Amino acid sequence: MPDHKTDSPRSASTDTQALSPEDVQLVSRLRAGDQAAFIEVIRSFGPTMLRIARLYVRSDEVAEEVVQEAWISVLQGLEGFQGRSAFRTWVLTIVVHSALRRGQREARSAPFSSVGQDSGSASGDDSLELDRFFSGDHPRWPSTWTTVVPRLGELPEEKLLSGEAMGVVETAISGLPDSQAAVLILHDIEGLPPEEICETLELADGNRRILLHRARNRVRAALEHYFDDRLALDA
Amino acid sequence: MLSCAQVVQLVTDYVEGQLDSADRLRFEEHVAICPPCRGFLSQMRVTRRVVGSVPVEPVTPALEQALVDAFDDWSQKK
Repeated sequence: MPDHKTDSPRSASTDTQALSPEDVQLVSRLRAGDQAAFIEVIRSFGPTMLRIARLYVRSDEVAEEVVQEAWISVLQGLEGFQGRSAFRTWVLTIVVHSALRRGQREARSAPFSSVGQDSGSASGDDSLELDRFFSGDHPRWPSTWTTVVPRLGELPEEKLLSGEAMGVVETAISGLPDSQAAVLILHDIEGLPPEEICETLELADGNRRILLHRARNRVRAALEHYFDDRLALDA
Repeated sequence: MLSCAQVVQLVTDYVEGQLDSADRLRFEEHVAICPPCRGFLSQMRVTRRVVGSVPVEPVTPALEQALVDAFDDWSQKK
């Protein structure tokens, strides 16, 4: 388990070469005890931290405790923060590790590399619905679709973005393996760039791409199923 | 020519603009003549948009206050 109290053993100064000017200013304000800066940060990062924490622990209450623990670690490590990664990435990495530790104590969760988790390896992909394709050695249509694939993009916006559709998405995400859900949340909901996701979740980029594809494909399948039913009802 | 199954495996990289130019061309050539794969691509794009529209829940006032108290404690003890 990495020690996040300092991201480098060499010195406590911030490496301004690696950090954006905004991060340099933010870290400086926080170190000076600027409460307004801290409130800005918890409003900005807090929702993401809670979502990530919630993947590994049983309840919203415990997720809030994890976020509090993570912020205490952030504050304790702030003087040693060297800016080798973006401030947000560093904070998110700390909450991931806090949540993993808490989840392991709760015996609900385990690291991405453990048995039962999807670590993004190329094998064992269950996201391709094989029953929707002719076999690869089919004499006429090898590896082609056996079914119709409706174009959801033609549905009106109010149906696509309805509260019910959002509920379908939330349910689908909650059913994903933690690693897939974490990548999907950080990429599609929080809009983090790929390199920050890799650093936060300690994933190789190839694994991140595989996990994103599997996660999005599972949510897509849930949406297709939901809209298929809606379209049948409307017909 | 890519198969439909290959298109399905490549679709996320295509949507994210992460295919190299040769694969992107092969992908687009296939999709141009394959209605089910066009449907699948449309579904993945819609999924990206719908997931991206999931509302972000703000931190509760109680949690925010607890965090601010912890920050004030930390800055006083420094």
